[in-house]
Amino acid sequence: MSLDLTHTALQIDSMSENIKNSRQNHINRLSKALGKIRSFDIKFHESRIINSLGMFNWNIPDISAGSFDKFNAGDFPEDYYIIATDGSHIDVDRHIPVNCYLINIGSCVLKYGNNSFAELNSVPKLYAKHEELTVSDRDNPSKSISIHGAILSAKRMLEELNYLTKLVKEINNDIPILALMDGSLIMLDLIGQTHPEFVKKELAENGFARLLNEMFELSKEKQLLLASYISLPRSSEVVNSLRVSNCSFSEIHCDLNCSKIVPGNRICDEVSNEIIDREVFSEYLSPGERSGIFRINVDLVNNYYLGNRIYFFYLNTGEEIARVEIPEWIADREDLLELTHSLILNQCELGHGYPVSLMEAHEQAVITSSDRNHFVEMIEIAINQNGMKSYTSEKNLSKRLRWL
Amino acid sequence: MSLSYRIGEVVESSSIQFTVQCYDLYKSPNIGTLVKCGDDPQLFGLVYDVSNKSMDPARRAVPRGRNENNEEGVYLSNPQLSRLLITEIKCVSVGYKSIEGIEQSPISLPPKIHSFVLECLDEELKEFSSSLDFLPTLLESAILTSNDEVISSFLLKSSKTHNDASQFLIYAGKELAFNLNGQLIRLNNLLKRISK
Repeated sequence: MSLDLTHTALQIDSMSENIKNSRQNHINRLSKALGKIRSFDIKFHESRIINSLGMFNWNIPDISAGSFDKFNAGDFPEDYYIIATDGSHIDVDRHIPVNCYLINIGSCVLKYGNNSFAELNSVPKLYAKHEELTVSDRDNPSKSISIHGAILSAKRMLEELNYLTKLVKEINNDIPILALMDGSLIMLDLIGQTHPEFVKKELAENGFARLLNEMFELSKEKQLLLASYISLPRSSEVVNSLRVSNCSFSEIHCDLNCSKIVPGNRICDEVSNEIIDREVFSEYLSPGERSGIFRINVDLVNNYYLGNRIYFFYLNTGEEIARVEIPEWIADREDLLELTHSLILNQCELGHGYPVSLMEAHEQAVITSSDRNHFVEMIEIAINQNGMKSYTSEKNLSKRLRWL
Repeated sequence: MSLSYRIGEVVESSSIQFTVQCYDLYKSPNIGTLVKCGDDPQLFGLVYDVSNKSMDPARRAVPRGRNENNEEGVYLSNPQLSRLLITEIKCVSVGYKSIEGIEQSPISLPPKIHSFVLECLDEELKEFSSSLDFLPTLLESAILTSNDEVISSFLLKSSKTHNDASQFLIYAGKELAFNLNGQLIRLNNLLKRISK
């Protein structure tokens, strides 16, 4: 049976009515949050943070004096490269006869200016060997965990940066290169999950962070910029930081002061509850403008990124508010920061709202449902050709046959 | 000795027609051009349609030049276009080369995918057009989008390779008249086209 749309429609109507009823409250909170940003007092914020003695429960970024400044894009040179990678994968599937997964990395190299050209490519890689299917603890090889789900997503992110680094190395030219990733520079798949320490150490520290180091080394010999682009971000870190100055208690101690108050009724909720950063910045930034920078303050980065600090800024592309994440060596240099801002904005203009290089890298990386079916068929054929019996689960078989 | 220009490769084929993706965007032969592909045997086709389009049928091209001064600027600002747009030609099979010589009839097997497609040299065009036995099939072909345009273009190109172009066109006119018996208006239009 297909989805019962009549019943679903009634529930959608009810949901829509609820959203409408809470709309005015939402607008009021948004307005207050905007007011807080416009009158943001960094010294007061910092003193309150110190005063909280770590008892502030919200994850917020490090804010600096210029974080809420606004910046316009500058000029950029005629000749430059944009390199982007994106990935997709086919996860381990217990319904197919082989334990394996596939990562497809799509890439797009665009050279602008004189002798402009484009190179679009995709590199699929099948992982089926035992050592490729698990992450092991280097100090204790008996400890290992299979790669699938969130760990595979993290592994894919690592491969995206790996390929991006490879492409940067191949460019022997003294013109600016913007290396662009899709999504975050933080391995979000390793946050908030109960992954063993060695998984974070292997993928984040020995993998991603070392590649960030390599990029930093490359930036010493090339005019290299590195950034990641998040379209329609859902984060609320900046808005949550407004809770600090809105807290009415003399000492900030979330558990002690507010644990018995229903979420939504706390004093700090006046400026932040159910508001996300992009809603505030869409009012705050004009088209083309970016915010100042904020430093991401999460344990994964602090403990596993080998000292690499990650910053972000919000950008009004004219079509949406995007979040751009950058490593410290970009954040520290005003000229590199401005060039990153300008080139990404131009990419969005060329891509009708979304960076054209990321769009093309995605197109190269995408694995369609038809590709996925072919992949399974190819595995089954290969297994049979080698004289082995292929099998699938009865559940999968029932889905394929759909008896009456 | 002149060399044939390699246009592209066969990407789709049947026993009566084949589609060629050109190597370079906007670099294609005109309709009515005789092309060849394959080695064993060599097949001949007549270009009947040329199209420029997105490589991915699910992605349409969108306007990009609002802020550009000229059309070239659109391509300079968007270098990826040269990788995403393609020029494609469609050819109707008109014959093949056998031990006996050129046979002007479709071959039973289509060309292989990825067969190289080359534009025929003048000598080859002259040899092929020395007989017009394929004309009846072409005149009645349902796959061509504009049969008479393709035929007249082919005949005019061919005439230039013969020592006496007028004599060749008179011969072609007679063949057309014989095959278009009862279609006076169509015959008249075709004769006008090849006598330009």
